[in-house]
Amino acid sequence: MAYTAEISRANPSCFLFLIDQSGSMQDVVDPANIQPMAHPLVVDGRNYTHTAQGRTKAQGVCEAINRLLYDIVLRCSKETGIYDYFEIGVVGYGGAGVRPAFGGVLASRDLVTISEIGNNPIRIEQRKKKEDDGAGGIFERTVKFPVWLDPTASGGTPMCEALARARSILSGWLPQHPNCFPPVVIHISDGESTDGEPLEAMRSLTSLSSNDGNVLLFNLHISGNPNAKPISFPDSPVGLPDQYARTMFEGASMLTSLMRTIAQQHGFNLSDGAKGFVLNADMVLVVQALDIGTRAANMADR
Amino acid sequence: MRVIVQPLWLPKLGNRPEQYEDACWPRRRLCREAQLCRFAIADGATESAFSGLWARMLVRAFVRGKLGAPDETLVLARLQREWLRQVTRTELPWYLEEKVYRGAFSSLTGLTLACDASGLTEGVWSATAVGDSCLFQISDGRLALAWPIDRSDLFGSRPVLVASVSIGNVKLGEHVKSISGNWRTGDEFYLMTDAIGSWFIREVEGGRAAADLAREVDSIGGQASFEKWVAGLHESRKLRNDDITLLRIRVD
Repeated sequence: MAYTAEISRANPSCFLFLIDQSGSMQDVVDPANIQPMAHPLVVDGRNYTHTAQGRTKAQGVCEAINRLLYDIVLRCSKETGIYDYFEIGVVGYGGAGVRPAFGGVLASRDLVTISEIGNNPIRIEQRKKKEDDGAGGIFERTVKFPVWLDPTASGGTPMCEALARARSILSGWLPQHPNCFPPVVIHISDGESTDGEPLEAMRSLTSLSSNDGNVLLFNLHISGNPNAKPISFPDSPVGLPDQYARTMFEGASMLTSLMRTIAQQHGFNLSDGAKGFVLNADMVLVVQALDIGTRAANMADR
Repeated sequence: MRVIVQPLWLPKLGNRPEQYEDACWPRRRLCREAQLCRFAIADGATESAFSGLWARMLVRAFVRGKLGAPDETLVLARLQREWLRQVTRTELPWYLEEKVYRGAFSSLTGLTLACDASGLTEGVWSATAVGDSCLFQISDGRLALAWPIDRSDLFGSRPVLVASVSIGNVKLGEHVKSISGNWRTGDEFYLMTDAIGSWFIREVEGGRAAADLAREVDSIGGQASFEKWVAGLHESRKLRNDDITLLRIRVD
């Protein structure tokens, strides 16, 4: 049966994030205090006429991935160190081309082990966190929050090249890990590919496999289309607003049975044909989708 | 009464002995004449850090009679402070700081055997448990007790465990279970952590006689034959890969 391989230090798995870093990712997600600009700007061919306060899409995505890496490191760590259950890559694509997105000593590496990630953040921030005190109250504490990725956004959207790069990275990795739980690729984008039709590249990526099944592709689309209603893990393209969203739906993998179970824990009621596709996601949904994509793995030697 | 105890334990496949996170007392074979004896078993939660240390501290406190006493809350607070002191002796990386803050968790099942006033061939036993480590009593070849879990489908849920940080124990009192009964000479008690305990219950549910199961477990000699026996269960996919601990206690 596919997607049942145990993940262990002897048989690690892989997560690969593909992040759209094109110019439109600097748009503010929930703009507040919108003010007209005295002198409108044109950046990357886009016309900016107002200023607004709020987090940009790029900031939101970086925050979600930093938080996810934090959770994975914690899940893998014991008093004897961080167990290397996973190798992880983050590939950014935008005006600077397609390249590994980690900063600091991990910069320019396609894949790094989870222990290298845990031990090498760019910086560690102090953040306030509200927590349940277990007795019905809330209290605030200061936590250390490591940062591996800073937001960046410029230029076009070379999605096909990014998908080809993902295929190349995993083509090199899979022969060394023939019995692994298949790599999960999580692709976060807000825009239309500017270097061609990406469906073929997605199919080519998910045609790769280990003995436990094919590579899994999640497409998380942060849409600017005013007609796009939030849709999560649909089993058909009905209701998708445009051809672009349909392409992202078509290219995404079906959720595995364990992923559907975890999705149910997040309150989703999904059919057997549900796909790893999320449209017009708010950041809460992005985080939930990341959790569903990455927790559905059965870590053995803990 | 005379008790003969054989502890058997193994870290999960692929792990080194220092990564073993269960705990039990006694750690070595024991043969003792006594009016009162305590034994305990604990299973440190794999997702927390320093849980093996916490499991050992709970077992030690139980067999010294500190847990289950009227000042238990104070004892637990002292144990928690001691755990924190030990794990923070050296500077920790950010992820272990966070793990320490969240605390270690462990099950605990403790058994106390006592002679009654009338003689040395009968007596009473009592047990306390938090979590899914199991106690079985076999009397006259029959399974007289499977506790606190008596059905294999009840394993695998996330049981409430004893936490090394007070915030994790806010509702602990609701989950402490106690039971007591009588023993007679020849009775056998088994304390088992969850992987081997669920195997035992599944075998009973599958129709195997408790006496037959007891004979199989009793026929395991020492540690070397235990390792071979466990390997056989793994090969036949009857046992989940986990730390395994079993205390075999015979009252003569």
